[in-house]
Amino acid sequence: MKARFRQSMGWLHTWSGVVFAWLLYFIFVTGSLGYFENEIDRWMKPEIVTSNGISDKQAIDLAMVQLGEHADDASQWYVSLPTSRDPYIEISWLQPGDPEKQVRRQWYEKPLEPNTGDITSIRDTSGGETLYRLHYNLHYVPPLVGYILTSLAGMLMLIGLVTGVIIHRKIFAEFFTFRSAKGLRSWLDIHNVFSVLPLPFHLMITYSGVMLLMGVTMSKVIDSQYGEGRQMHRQFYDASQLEEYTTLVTEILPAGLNVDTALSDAKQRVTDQAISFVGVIDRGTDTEHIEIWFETSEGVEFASLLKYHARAERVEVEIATGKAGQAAAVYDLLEHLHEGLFADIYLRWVYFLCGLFGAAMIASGMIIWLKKQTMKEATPPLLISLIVRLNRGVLVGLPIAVGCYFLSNRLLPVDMSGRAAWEMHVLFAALVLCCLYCLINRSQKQWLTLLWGAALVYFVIPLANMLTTHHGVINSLLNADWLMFGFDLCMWLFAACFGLAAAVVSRQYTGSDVAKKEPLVC
Amino acid sequence: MSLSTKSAQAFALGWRVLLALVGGFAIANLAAIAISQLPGDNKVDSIVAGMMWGFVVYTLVVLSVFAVRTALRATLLVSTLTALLYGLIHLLSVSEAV
Repeated sequence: MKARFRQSMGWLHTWSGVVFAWLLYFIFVTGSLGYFENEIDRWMKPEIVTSNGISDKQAIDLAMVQLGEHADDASQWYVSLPTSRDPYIEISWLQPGDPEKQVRRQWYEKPLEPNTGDITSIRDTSGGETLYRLHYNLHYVPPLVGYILTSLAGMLMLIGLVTGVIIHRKIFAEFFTFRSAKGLRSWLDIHNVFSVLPLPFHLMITYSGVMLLMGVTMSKVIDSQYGEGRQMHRQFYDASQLEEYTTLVTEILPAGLNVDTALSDAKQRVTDQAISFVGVIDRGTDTEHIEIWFETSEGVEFASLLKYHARAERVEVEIATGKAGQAAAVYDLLEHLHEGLFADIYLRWVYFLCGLFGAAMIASGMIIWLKKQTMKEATPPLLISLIVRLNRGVLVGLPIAVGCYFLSNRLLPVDMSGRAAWEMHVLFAALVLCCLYCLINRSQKQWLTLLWGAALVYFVIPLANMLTTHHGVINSLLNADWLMFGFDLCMWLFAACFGLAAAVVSRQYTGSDVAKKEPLVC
Repeated sequence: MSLSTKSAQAFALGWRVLLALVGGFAIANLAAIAISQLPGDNKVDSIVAGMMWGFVVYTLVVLSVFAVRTALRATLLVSTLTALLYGLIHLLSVSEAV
């Protein structure tokens, strides 16, 4: 390879970063949005009626009536109780498939109106879930292709991170260095800041990311022990996810086991945590039991869970104490760290910002590489100039596309058929349009146009919300609906950030020595 | 630099990329299978551990393939590791059968 070890690693760092840079940027941006999945979901379903102040017992009574009416043949029932992140009652059930009636086996989720107890009819939306799933299923491709592509990108990211550490001898000294307005030097400093400070996060999120898909990418290992095929693998998954339980006998008589009795018993056992949801599992079978889940923001564990089984004499409660295997426990820990479900609102913001730093690291790395390519010759080769243009389209086009996704949720007709799918089409159409604009338009001011465009889109979102729903900023403020208010405020914050970026970039187009100055961005 | 040395270098580089991607993946899987067969009472957990170490192994192999001085050494490295792991897996499965 190169003459020196560090040069070889530098080459590897560059290329492992550049090859999948845009895909990695996409993964980091959409994945970061996933940390606010529930909040985004709530904003995209404005019809939901919040139910602050309703007691758990009242909520469950309402839910049981609806479940009995709509899901009597379902084997699994869940009731999600109002929490600070999801301040509403939601019921969900597993609808059994019925080929004769052409009913597909699938999960249903319906929010309840707390005053009447009826199911609230909400707009058809892709919501926060589809948005967050983008970062590993890539939406339009078959899931397997999405998993393999994201895993490959993740592996290259991991190599990029490790080689990045190797090539920076004075990694922490460089972190405190910032040389502003020095062209390439400044970009290198920016790249270092975004990489070094959240390096533990980057390493954790990248390693755990590829690890979460290991059942797909390293399936040969499972084949070697369990044999090929879905059924064989299922055996492995069941065995590897085996939990260890402590079993205690309760006061409840087997005949008296229902959601209410289980709930009050659980509340006596765990006094310092709120209950997030309850489930009735394997309904109508011998193994029917009741699950009580506690709030997720109480530690790195996903949630503490109590399971109530009716036995011969008394009802017994099983308390999960963790995975049976050591490796499985490490896997669990990394999975929870990746998903951050345990995080409260402050830590959630740290997660979100670290994720965006990751996106900024990739973006600045790409800009450094392109700057070096374009500085070599007066007129860069066609391929490089195409990549330069597309790079602008992707880097700013993606935030614009996400903004358009939010806008489409408010602006598409509510009774439109295939509405949820169209929200996603809008996202990708906006991204493609931004790229096309950059390819066709020959203006030097593409950065400026795109950044102002992004500022405009994010500025308009709260306005569209105000005009089409009763949850505009003023109403949210008056009703102390902080989730809705916070979402709108964040949109304006993003608009301000894009506006600021546009103002900074626009400086390179003004003044008398425009031609002499090295452009800020390429 | 003559054209032929240039294309020879390009070939050597492409070969390294192939070694790193495909060879690294093969070694990662073999290492994972070897770890999953190490003697222990929790078989399933060893598989999980093996797969988790696999990504670390993959990263190290890719780094080594590009760190060594010549493409020939990189080839030797990958083939030696593959052979060693094959041997180890064979040994482990024999001792398991006994």
